[in-house]
Amino acid sequence: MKRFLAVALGILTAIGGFVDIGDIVANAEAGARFGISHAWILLLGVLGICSYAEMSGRVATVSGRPVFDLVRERLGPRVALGNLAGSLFVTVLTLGAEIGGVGLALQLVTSVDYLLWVPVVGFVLWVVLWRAKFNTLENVFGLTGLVLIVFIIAFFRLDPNYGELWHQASRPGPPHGEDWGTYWFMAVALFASAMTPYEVFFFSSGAVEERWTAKDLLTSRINVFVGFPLGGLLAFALMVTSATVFHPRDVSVDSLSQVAMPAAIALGKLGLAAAILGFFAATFGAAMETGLSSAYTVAQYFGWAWGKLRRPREAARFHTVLIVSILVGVLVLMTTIDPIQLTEYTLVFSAVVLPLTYLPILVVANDRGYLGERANGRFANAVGVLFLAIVVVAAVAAIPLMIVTRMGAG
Amino acid sequence: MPHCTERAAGEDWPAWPAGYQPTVTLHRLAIVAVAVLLLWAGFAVSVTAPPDRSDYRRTALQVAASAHDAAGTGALIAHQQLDGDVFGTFADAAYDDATRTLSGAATRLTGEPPPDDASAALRDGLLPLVQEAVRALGDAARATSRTALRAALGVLEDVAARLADLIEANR
Repeated sequence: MKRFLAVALGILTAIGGFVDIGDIVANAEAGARFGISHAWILLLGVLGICSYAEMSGRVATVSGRPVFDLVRERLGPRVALGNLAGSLFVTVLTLGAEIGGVGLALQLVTSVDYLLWVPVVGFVLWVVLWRAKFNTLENVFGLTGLVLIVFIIAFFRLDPNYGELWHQASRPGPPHGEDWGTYWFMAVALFASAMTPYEVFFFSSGAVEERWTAKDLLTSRINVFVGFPLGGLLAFALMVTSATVFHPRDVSVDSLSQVAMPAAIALGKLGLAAAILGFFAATFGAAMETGLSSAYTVAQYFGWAWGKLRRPREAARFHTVLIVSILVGVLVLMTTIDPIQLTEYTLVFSAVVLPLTYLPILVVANDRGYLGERANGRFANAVGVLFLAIVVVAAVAAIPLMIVTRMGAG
Repeated sequence: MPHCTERAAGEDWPAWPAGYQPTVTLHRLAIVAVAVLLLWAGFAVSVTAPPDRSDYRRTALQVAASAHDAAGTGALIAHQQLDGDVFGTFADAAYDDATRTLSGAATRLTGEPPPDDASAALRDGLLPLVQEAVRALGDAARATSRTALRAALGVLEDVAARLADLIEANR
């Protein structure tokens, strides 16, 4: 019974923890501009992250060491440095975007400008990461993030035009007024939002923090194959409610207040409050994950003592990187860049560095020296190579599409 | 398991591998510097070149689309306020967001001189609509009665419809 509850809790936190500012922004924007014609991209992204998160979880549970640790050992310092530089750059930018998202959520309930919240959020984030236990953090914010289910309920209350939605989903392509360039730009952003690099680093490092062993492999797989797709369903709910409210009016979405509106229209003040609480939990939870991921990757690369389970004094360099990452995230926002715009840029850069993250994971997951008989089989490799090819195409296309479409403006 | 070490998770690595040296040479740095300079020069040329007719039209249509989004969003907020579906702080923040979008759009439109008469005509048709949307959004945000809010909502819906027509006509 205790084990069953632990598995159920893991699934629930995986669902609630799946959505972050990138998913919120990309799905709502895509829904408003293109209806749900990008639904297949979201499905592809969820399958991709499931495939690679499973590999990362397997590597961590079987070897007892996180992926980044093994990447440096297996591929050498030079290759791992490329991996580190790319993923750290994107993860710290994502951290900034998440902190901005928390500020925007607070602005919606207080009317106080998000910029005034940003330093406060940064400080609270640091205190929470310094003082609170790993499990507590994961469970509280993962479970609170579940209130985003309000968007699924809102969808049914909005009385959507199912025929039109089916038409959009079954005939992917740009609607009237958009072109293929902007369609593919949004597709790359959506794919990157589902496959954000920090997710696999956090997942594998978290497995080590929680002292998972090969016996926990089933739990890890259930979290990935049940929790992540259901988390993807929440992201899809954001897309489809936005498609129902904004697409017929030909109105684009470029603010968090707009993303919350379908919940208010369908469910009134209670729905709105739940949506804002969900945004807060999703972005604050993701800010913790990205902050920790930044520190994990650097500490694991340089071979420093790391982890939330160690006292800060015992892992001083790990905690220093954590503080510096939060400071950089706050400083990026203090340039007054709009957090939504920062998220959009982060998604593009994230797409560019995706191969640097996922190729080494595929290599390590194939190494029988670490995994023995738990190394990738033919099916896992076929799926892994397929998604790696897609990741490479997205990485190559991201910057040209950004320039040609002027950041998706057309 | 040849690659595994005895090191437990989270413990310090041993020293860097023997013989590992950073190999960034001056030659490579020079290539990178030239590439960055060329990219920067290209970027500078592209942003400082005066807009031609099609550039201006594209900008004007983007401004019109942003103004349409802001007016449409403002109308949605006003509707929700009248139905009692949103709380005050949310409405304030949402109007602020829409106003910021509109202000940015207006600045872009007035910041670029039209290159010819046709472009000037497009600007002259668009600018009053953007200004009307700014006024109506302000009125909705400040409305203290349902009557005032309804009046602002009417203007926002009307402006959004006219902006949609303008976009369609110039597409």
